[in-house]
Amino acid sequence: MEIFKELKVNPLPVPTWHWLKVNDADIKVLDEGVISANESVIRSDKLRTGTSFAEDEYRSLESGMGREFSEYGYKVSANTVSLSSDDPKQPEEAIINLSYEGGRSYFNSYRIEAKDNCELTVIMRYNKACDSDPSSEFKAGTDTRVFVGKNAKVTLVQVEEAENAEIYNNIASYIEDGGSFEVIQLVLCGKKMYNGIATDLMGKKSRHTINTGYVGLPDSKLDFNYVARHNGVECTTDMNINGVLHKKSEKCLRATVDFITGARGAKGAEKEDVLLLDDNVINKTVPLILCTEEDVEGEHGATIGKLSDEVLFYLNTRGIDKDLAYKLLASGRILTVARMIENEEIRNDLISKIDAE
Amino acid sequence: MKEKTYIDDVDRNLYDFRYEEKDSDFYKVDKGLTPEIVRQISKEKNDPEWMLDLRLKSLEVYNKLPVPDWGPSLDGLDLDNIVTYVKPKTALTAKWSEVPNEIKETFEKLGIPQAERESLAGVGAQYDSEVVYHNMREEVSNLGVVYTDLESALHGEYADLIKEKFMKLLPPEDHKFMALHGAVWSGGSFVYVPKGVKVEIPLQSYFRLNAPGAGQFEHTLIIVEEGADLHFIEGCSAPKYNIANLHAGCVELYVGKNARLRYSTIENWSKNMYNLNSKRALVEDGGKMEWVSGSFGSHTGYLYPMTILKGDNSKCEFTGITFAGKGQNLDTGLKIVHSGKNTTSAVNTKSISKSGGIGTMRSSVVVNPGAEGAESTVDCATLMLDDYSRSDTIPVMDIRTQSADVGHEAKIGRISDDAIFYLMSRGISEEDARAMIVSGFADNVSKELPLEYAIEMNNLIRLEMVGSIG
Repeated sequence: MEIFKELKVNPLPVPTWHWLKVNDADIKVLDEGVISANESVIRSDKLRTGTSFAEDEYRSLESGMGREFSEYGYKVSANTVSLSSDDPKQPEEAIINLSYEGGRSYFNSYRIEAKDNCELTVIMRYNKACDSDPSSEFKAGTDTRVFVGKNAKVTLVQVEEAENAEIYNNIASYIEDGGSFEVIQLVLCGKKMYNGIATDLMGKKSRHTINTGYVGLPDSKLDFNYVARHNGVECTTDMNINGVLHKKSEKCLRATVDFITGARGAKGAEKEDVLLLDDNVINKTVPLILCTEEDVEGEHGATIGKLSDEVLFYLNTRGIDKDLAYKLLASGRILTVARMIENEEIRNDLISKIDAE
Repeated sequence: MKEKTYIDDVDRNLYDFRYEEKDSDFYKVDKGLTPEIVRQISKEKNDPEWMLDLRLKSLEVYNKLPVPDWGPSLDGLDLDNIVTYVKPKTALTAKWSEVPNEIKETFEKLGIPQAERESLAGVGAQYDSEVVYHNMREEVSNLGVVYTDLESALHGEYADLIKEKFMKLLPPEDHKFMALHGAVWSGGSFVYVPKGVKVEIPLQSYFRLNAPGAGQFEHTLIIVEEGADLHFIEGCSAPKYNIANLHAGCVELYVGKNARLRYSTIENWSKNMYNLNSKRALVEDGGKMEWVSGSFGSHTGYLYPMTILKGDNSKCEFTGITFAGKGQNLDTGLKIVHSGKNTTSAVNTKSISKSGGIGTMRSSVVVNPGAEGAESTVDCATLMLDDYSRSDTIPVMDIRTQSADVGHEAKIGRISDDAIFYLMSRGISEEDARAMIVSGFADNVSKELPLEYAIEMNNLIRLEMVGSIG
């Protein structure tokens, strides 16, 4: 008999009214019998790999999906794949293809590190196995811990392409002086997706960017929790989230910029554009700014709903009717994010897939 | 080295005066909250039977509901030590000369009768748990406008209307302190503006809580009928004591078809006050609700006026400022629900945190299914005046209609060095330059208030900004 466990994930750093149902999300996960997904890692020989992970290091970071999920991940994860770049002269890239089959629960853990002055790009793709029944469901969790050294750079690209999946994507990161952590996320499929990123900008002039494009397909549920904690002097965060919601899809985005005392000169911005394509969608946007430092600049902006009359008029004058205009601009939002991927082969593959749909 | 500006807390002498009062001047119930106390209050107020039932039901709800776990701490509020009903030994009067001297002098120091003479259509004054004075200009009364204390209205011509509306917008189940209000409410105003009547000058209610360790639970019920127009102003103050006082008032506003209601508040409770006030408006087709809100006082504040845009083409405008200083934790904001078609809401809020104060701007904009063509814009700006205060912005947007158009912007920052430099290069001292910038920052509210109140609000800000450079 399968034993399930209920968890509260993606907690809002500061709670608000309960009736809005945005303070966290509830998930039900398999407590035993969780296996590692079949993964292939494509990388150069110079990139260091391993499987070790220190418990105290793991627990020292607060993750986006929260403490309960981190504890769960630590318990069910069989091992941790470690990728470390330590040659300042050689930017490294690793591609991790995660392949799932229906009817199972999976969990994989990663430790990604760019040591001082090094550069590392990791691309993770979530896919169903070719021979798996497309209609069969599965649950897949990943936990990724990212460490960015002084003047180093980590780029993490995650592409969710698996149908009928319930994905849990938990990320925690730590950035030192001058370091940069860039995240590109594309959510193209999935029945349910819970996605949390928490970043500690500890170093002076550390930088963090998140660019996300998502498509809420009919009956899907997407739940995001992005938290950027500004500790270092003159550190900066820039979050840009673009999405499209179709029939009966539901999305909740929590995006928090937290300025902590001492983060003088820090800047944080968060922006979300959501295009609603049907009346039965549910869009929740919760953009927080928390502040205990005087010398900062923080801002958030959100635009939600239909296309503006000006845009529609402009496209109409060029022979594009309303339906086509919505289609073009919906795919445009996702393509904008896909084009940020530097790996040409993967970028073109994704662009052609998005264009086709 | 760049010098820091130290900004003093507000000089509250204007509000902190109080007369030494004897217990024999008042009728009080015991501290705490029991069915016996609720019955005692009901008997004292000569409630109709349905009201006693509502009070007792509210008490049951109160005992079941939890204290909010998402806002500022309420640990300093011990309801076992709050006196829920304090009645001055005087009858309600419409003649200022008949108000007892101590109470009269209190309100005169606050400028209430002077304001009535100069710029108001009517005034109500509540002292502790009871309204002690209510008056309205004859020409306004002749238009059929009713402005009276709620207890009198419960036994008058509008008794059935009050029974139909009372605590229907804000039921006791809404939250713990609304249930408390339902159990022990006392005082407040009833305003009825008949169809098509436009009240050209504002009505005002002023609430003064003078008794230490007491609660004030006034209820304001305003009904603005179709095509009517009203501006209602609410003022609040209290002297400071070393023990906690509680304000858990309730404001229910009904805005009829194509009617307009402006509700302005300048809140300056003392800094031992827990201000857990609730306000809600229901707006019918083509109606418009305007909120103007200035929050300066209180130790702890929970204040989020809610507007339900039920009718098609109904509108809401919210303009607010919160100034959180030393020892204050002010959690303020708003809630807007779009339900009708082609509804619009526009929100403009400012928040200032200084001297260790905590200011939180909490909001929700909900667009329900079927609210086609709903439009909403929210603009929040926050100014941090030092690095040991705290300021949080917690907005939520819940949108469930494709044709909605919702925009939200928020900014947080400090006073720009460039702006200070510019003003100083024109001979203005740094202190004055900073005060000028903060006053300008708050002009979204001051320009929406009648002149006399805008001056009062600007004076409050000026007092806050008096300080030294160092």
